[in-house]
Amino acid sequence: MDAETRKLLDPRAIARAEALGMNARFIVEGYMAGEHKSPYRGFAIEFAQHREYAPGDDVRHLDWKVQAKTERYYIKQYEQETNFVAHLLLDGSESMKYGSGEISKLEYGKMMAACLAYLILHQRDSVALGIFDEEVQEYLPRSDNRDNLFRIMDRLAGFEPLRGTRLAPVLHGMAGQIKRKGIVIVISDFFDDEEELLQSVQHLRFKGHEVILMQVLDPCEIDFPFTGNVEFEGLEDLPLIRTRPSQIKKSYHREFEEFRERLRSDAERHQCHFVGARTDQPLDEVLANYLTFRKSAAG
Amino acid sequence: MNFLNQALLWGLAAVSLPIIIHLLNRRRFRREPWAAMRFLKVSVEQNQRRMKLEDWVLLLVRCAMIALLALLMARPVMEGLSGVPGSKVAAAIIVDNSASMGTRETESTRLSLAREAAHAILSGFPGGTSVALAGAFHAHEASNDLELVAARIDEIPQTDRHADLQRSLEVAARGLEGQAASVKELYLVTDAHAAEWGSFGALEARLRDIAMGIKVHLVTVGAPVRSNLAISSLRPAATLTSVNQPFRIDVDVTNHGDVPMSAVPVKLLVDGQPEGEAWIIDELQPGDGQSATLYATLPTPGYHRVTVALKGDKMPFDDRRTVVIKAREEVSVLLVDGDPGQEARDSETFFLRHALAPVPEEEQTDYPVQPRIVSISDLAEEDLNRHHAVVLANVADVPLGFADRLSRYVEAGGGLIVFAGGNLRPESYNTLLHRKHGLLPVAFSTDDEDAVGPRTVVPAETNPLGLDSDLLAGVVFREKLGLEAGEMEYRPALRYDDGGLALTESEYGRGKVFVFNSSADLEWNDFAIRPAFVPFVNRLLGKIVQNREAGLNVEAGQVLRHRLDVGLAGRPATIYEMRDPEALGYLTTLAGGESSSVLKFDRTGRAGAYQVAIEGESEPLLFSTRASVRESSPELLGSEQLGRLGAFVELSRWESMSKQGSFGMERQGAELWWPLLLTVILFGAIEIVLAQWFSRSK
Repeated sequence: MDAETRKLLDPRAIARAEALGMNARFIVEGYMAGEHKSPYRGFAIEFAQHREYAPGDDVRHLDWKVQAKTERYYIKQYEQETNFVAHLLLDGSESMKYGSGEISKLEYGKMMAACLAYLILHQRDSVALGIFDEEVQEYLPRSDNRDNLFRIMDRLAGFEPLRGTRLAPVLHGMAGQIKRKGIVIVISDFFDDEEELLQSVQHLRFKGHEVILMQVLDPCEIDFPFTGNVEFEGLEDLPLIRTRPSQIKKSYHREFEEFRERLRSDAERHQCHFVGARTDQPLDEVLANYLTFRKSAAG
Repeated sequence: MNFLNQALLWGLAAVSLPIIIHLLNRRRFRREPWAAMRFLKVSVEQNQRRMKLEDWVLLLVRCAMIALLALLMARPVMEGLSGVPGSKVAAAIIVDNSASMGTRETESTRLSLAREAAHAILSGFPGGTSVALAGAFHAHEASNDLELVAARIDEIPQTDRHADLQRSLEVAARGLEGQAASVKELYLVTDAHAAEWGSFGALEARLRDIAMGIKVHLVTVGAPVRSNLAISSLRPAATLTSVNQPFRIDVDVTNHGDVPMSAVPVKLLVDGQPEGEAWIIDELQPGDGQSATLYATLPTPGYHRVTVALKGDKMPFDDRRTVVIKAREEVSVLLVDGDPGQEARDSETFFLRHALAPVPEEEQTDYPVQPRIVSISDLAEEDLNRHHAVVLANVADVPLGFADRLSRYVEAGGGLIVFAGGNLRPESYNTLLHRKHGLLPVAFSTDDEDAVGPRTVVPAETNPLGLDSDLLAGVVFREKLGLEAGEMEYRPALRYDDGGLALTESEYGRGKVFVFNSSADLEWNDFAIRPAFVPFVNRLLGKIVQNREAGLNVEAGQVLRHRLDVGLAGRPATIYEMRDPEALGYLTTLAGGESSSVLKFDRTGRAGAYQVAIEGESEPLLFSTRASVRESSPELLGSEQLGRLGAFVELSRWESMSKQGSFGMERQGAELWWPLLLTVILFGAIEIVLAQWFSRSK
């Protein structure tokens, strides 16, 4: 029994994955219940087979013609043709461990990835998952099988960050690796070299991928509410910084906002989508905002 | 620069507090895991220098503020600086009001000049000065109310006392040392009367010490006096003063000046009225003393003022002296005869009676001393309180009841004289009068090996009876009883030539007790037929009678303590100075004691007679005070001595209005607390503004 299997069979990992899956389903279905329409419409759907109706099946899918002929209830089953591949790339570096509240950026990112995976698989599109830090640490190849969802959840739940971030090589690598055009969704705080990041994004764009940059930030990173004497301990083996935050708050705000603004404008410049999220923000709200935007953009 | 609260300079150590807090704060960081380090790093790098600079500026301001606060508390004084607001002057003015300050000057007395000088000193103080005014004997509390101090200057009384200037200086210096002021000044306004400086060396040393921290000014007043005649002693010769019975008064007059005096009249006054002719002292050389003898007659029973006066000179306090003497119409003596004998001459009290009333039989009725003879069996009916003294002459046993009455009688002021003899049984006296009542300070002993044998007596060292030892030398004592002293107090009055006790004198309550261990008749000695016996017996009686008036003549400044009947305790009494009929009386209350009440009076500064009116008593009590003879010398401190003092004391001489406005001109030294306080407040404000400004987010 290999380690992977052992991990999958780990009751705690399963519970975590199930919890994550349930959470994602709850968030996505909450959103879908309001929308009733997939934002990724236009994919072909073909009839596959009939099967006998069972209580709980959606009556809309009853084949009334067969019922008229046989007086028995059959449900029509379809097979969706997949032409949409989404690559979920989650930043699993140590900087994502930061969380001032109940949830860290990584946990939020995992949730976000899980939701998107659920959403995409729900539409019978393909999802690939990559978790990276300085390099890709976990990778699940694309699959449109809904059963893949549990594996995605398990990988997400079981991942623990160990190293720093190096986005650009990872994205460059992915750009070279992915053959079929798709959507590359990068979930990260993007605390990395901006120039290199943009080059890698450009690389992905060059390969014909649609790129969505989802930036996950902690409220404290945005508001910087600290007072007194604070010794900031870098999560990615950076030297300690001692300071009185209240005296540099403005300066920090300025630097940080400039960074976010640069990221946003660079993303737009390279025709990427940029989604900003705070970990104290409800995830369905973030997704709703983005999907609504995307639906409207798609016409 | 000097500091008034030097101990508080330790507060400068508190400057380290902001530094310590700063260092502690630098070590006290809350650790926070952080992801967005690059933005933080940039922000810190941009602000690091500014923050350090702000830290240093704040630290410096805080240190400076605490240092200034510590300096402020230590109250720095800048010498040579004046006119700074908030500078405080503390001063003490001692105005010598001893007897010599009553010396007459051209227009007034030395004390008047001293008061003028004190007013001039007072006018030189800046407002708010704390001034402690003191006479030579009484110090007032320091006051900032200069008008009040001015009023007190005028109230400083002239006394006839001898001053202890060292004590006055000590009190004033202690008062000043306890005050926090930039300038401390001590003014001693005196005539520099040499006698008041006692041990000049000691006083000079003390003044030098005081002058280390206090500016001392010696302001002298008055011109030297070349002549002064003084009554240095006044003694009534008689121990029993009776109405209309002339008695002798011995007066000593001393020439304290440096010029011979001739034809010096010495006058006598009884109750303020001249009595007889003045005694003239022909010539009195400088430093010499001569005696004058005067005779006074007291016309009525009761207290009388007997005054001796010289012709007034510039130092008047010692030109008059008054004593208070009580005249009696009759002195009753109860003689208890322990051995009456067959004939009057054989009686134990025969010689005593004749010694007490040494006049023919027909004149005895008018004689002031009235002896009454009783036997021991008659004592039960006798009222002891009618008699001034009780004499137990060779009485064998003391009845139990009589012993109790006798102790109460003596305690209330009566007198007891015990003569020994062959009948006296020591056990009875020792048990009841010595051990039980403590009336006799000594016990009789029959075990004395030297009881028998010829011997003579001599007066004890102090000769309290004033007996002539030549007269005593001829008396032969053949027998005696031993006397054993216990723990009770007594004074030996006569001793045998072998040193053994012959006569003891002691007090019991308000009364007096004499114990003589030989006989009053010729059984054990031949004293009764010797010339010394009459004065011996009369002086014993005189001491007993005078005992009640003892302490009524005291030196000026001494506390009068006079014992009176116990029934007077708690009664109010008013005391008047008789030389000044317009003066207000002093109210007091007679204190209670075990066997007597006590009149206590301490305002005896002026010499002369005082009258005490006790509520419920018809006859007033008199007492007198005399000026201190130590003040009679006119000698002042010499220029050499003043020169020595001038090395560390500011010397100035006050002649009427001569230096008005000159005191305080040289006063320099300003306290810097006011500017320092302003600076501390300024630094505090700067600290608040800077702290707010620096803590703003940038």
